Amino acid sequence: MKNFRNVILFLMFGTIIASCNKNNVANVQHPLSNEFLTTTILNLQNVSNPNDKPSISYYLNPNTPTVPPVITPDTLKLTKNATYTCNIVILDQTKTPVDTVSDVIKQRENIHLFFFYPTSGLMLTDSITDHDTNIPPLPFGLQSQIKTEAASTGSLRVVLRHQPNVKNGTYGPGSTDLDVTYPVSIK
Amino acid sequence: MAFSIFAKNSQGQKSDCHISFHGHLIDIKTRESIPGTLVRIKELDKAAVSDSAGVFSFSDLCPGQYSFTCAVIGYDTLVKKINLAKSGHAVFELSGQELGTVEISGKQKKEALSTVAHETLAGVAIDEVRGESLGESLKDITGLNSIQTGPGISKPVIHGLYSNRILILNNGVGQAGQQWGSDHAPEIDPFTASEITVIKGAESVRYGSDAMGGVVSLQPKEMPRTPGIDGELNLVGASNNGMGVASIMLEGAFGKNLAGLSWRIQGTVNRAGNSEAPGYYLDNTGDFERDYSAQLSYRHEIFGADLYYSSYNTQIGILTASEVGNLADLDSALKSSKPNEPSKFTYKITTPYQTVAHNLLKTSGYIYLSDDSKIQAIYSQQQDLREEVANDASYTNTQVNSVADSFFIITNSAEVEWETRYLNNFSSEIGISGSTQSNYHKTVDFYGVIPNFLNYGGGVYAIQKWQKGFWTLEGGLRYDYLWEQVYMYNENLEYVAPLHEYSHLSGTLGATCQISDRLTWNFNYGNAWRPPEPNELYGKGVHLSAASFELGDSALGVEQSNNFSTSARYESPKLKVELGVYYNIINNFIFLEPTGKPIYQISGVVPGFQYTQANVLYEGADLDINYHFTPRFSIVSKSTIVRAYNYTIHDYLIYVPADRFDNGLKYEFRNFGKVTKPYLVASNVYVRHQDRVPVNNYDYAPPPPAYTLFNAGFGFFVMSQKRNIEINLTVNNIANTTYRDYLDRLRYFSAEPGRNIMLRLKIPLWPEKTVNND
Repeated sequence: MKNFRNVILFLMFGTIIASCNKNNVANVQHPLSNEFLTTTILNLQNVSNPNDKPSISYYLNPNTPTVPPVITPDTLKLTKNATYTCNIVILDQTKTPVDTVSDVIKQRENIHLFFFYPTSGLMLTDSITDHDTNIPPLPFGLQSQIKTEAASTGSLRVVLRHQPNVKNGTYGPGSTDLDVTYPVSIK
Repeated sequence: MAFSIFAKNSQGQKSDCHISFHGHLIDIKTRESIPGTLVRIKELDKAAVSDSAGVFSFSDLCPGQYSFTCAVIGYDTLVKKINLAKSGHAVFELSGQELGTVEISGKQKKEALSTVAHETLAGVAIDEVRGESLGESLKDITGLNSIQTGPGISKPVIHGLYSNRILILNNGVGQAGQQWGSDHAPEIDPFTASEITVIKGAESVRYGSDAMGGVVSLQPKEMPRTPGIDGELNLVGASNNGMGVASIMLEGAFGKNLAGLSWRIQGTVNRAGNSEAPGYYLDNTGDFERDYSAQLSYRHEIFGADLYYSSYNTQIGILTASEVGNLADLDSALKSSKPNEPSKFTYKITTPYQTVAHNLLKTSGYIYLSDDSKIQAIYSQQQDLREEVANDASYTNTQVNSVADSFFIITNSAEVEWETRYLNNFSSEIGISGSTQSNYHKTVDFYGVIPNFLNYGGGVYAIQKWQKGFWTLEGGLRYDYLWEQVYMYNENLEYVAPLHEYSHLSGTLGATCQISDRLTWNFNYGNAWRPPEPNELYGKGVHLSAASFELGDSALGVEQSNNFSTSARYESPKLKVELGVYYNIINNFIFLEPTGKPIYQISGVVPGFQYTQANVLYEGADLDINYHFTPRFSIVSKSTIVRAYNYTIHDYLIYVPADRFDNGLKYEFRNFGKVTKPYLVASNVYVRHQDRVPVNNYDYAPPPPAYTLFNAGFGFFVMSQKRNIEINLTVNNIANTTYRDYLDRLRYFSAEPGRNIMLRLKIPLWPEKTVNND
């Protein structure tokens, strides 16, 4: 009887000591392995004027979500009635050296699709020129063509949709990876 | 009716009229103690009430024969004549009322302070909700609601409070998963419990800060004592989502040399496909759950020990339409009357989904140091791994099954408790507890909704109880200390480890008065506290399916509540009425408030929500009425009303349950042939439109309109091959009404499921043994 009581007491203290044992996985530093789309650059080239190659970048620090994005220069300046090729470059500037995420997105073109939405009144149209390797091939959008018309101002919204297994050329399926907007002025 | 007397020699009782007598009231079937029972000695017009351990006592009795009358709700009244010559004690075995078993009996549970309102779901009432999630099945209790994320995820809400403010006790162990998320359902297989007790009020003195808003306690069946093997099979099928559940339990006790030793194993498989709202299927709302548990138990006259292990594993689909990454997507989802994606019925679960694995190991033991003194100890370890898988887990990943968030928490806790009775009218409970938790969160995001943390906590408490005649008074004090270190990246990408320490004293006071045989009155005051959780302090991220960015505030302080509650219960053979009201003042209540400022994410702009504190009030009333027109025909009425107000900014609080009224008729037929206890029920549930909501732009969509649902069901036992098989069938939402519920986070995207027919069978695996009452 007394022995059993001792056993119980031993178990009690044993469990208390056991529970104080450090299960210290919490302070293991987890790696920041994934890519962050910090910077989205539009590189344009006027097809009939080698000197007209405007560019604009949209930078967002993922660790300061309350800070608005930095857009450099503040406006994308285009010439009226012109045709531009548009090439998108996406960077991860949290990495050293800087990681070009658009290269990886290019490898995964079959599950990604870009969309371009000019605000009404901004006289431009954007048409995608590159295609993925789906059968039949579907538009991708890292390369596109922008045609400007009359002088106007507004903004251009670029959306990257992530559509694993469900890409069908439309906006609907999947979710949004990237949604950025650039001020544009056509003169 | 069996009972036995163990008359004992007692010393020092020289004078004739100094006989003292203790009685222990237990349930004849479950062998559990029955507290709160009025016991009268007819000849002397003396009375006593059994305490939390089911024990009552009389002193200063003269020798002679006395009739002890024990009357309590849910049991047949027991009258026992006992010839007293000297001091002694006896066990009184009460048997449950078979006919007219109250769905939710007012039977008191020994864990509870007897002055806090509590209700138990057991017997036929629990069998009627088998196959439903824990949160859903508790909606039948007044004062309770559930907060949902679609059909598969549901959490209990007690008097308006949920998540970290509610403690869920699984077989005596506080459930430690990822309770902080309102889309994180309790990781428990309800089939392990034979009864569920809900304590509607602060139980912080007994259980610590987790029990601020109340306790849901799942209790397994008592371990078997008769040598032999026994078991049962539960089968559930549901029409709406094609759900099939099978749960099997085997148990046995040893005899001879191994007498006192018993075992139980149990397993459940639950598979459900897409739920169906009127007119369309809810895409990707199936789930697949596999659980098992095992228990080994030893009982001796004065000591006992238990070893328990359980494993819970599930995969739950999240409505595809609810995964929105930014305001533009949310706006388009809100504008459409149903999800944009076409859907059909399937059991297949695709992204987004959650997987959860929860393992619990528990060892416990108790020993009676004397007749009036008992020590018990519990040690438990829990491991909980939750993974949330989304299809945009990584920008560049082709793999669909990539984990967006994974949370892994290990909890160790130990508790020693000493219960003692002294000076006849006094009893006390003294305890010490300690726990440590370690949380590891992995995310593809830069930051996360919860950081990694490690904590150590401890508490000591004492509860005193005084019982005399019709009065019970109780009071308790508790001191808690918590050390918590958080590990995370700061804004400069440095890994930092801020430290938080909290300590707090909490207390409770209560009284119960048995005014007459039929009328009981309760009052309780409880002071409780809760430290801010790591996600409330340092959370920084988008909650999946919420399209909201949650920002913690490291300056948050401790939340404190002062809860006053009182209830009165009247019970006559025809009428049972219980009315409870509460007034819960919570200072520095922590909640999410919209910042009104956009959060810039590369995937678009989302609204920002900031954890903040305010002084708030939760108040409300619960009313239960059960009236028998005839012995077989009765009306059951349950009303739940909650109000909550933010006194800091003079506005209502968000996500407060709408008023709920549940009125039903029940007819209990006569037994015929091999069919026993047949009954038929029909009920109407009316949930009001929640019009008490914050005026500023808190919510994405206004609260949905009021709705009315009609439900019906019948059930009976049928004797087949010496097995008493229980069968019941329920039909929820008979009219296939389209409705949305204010507390369902998926109401922004889709309606609730429509009509659902559920058939349940409970089959004993062995023929009934003849009951042997010696």
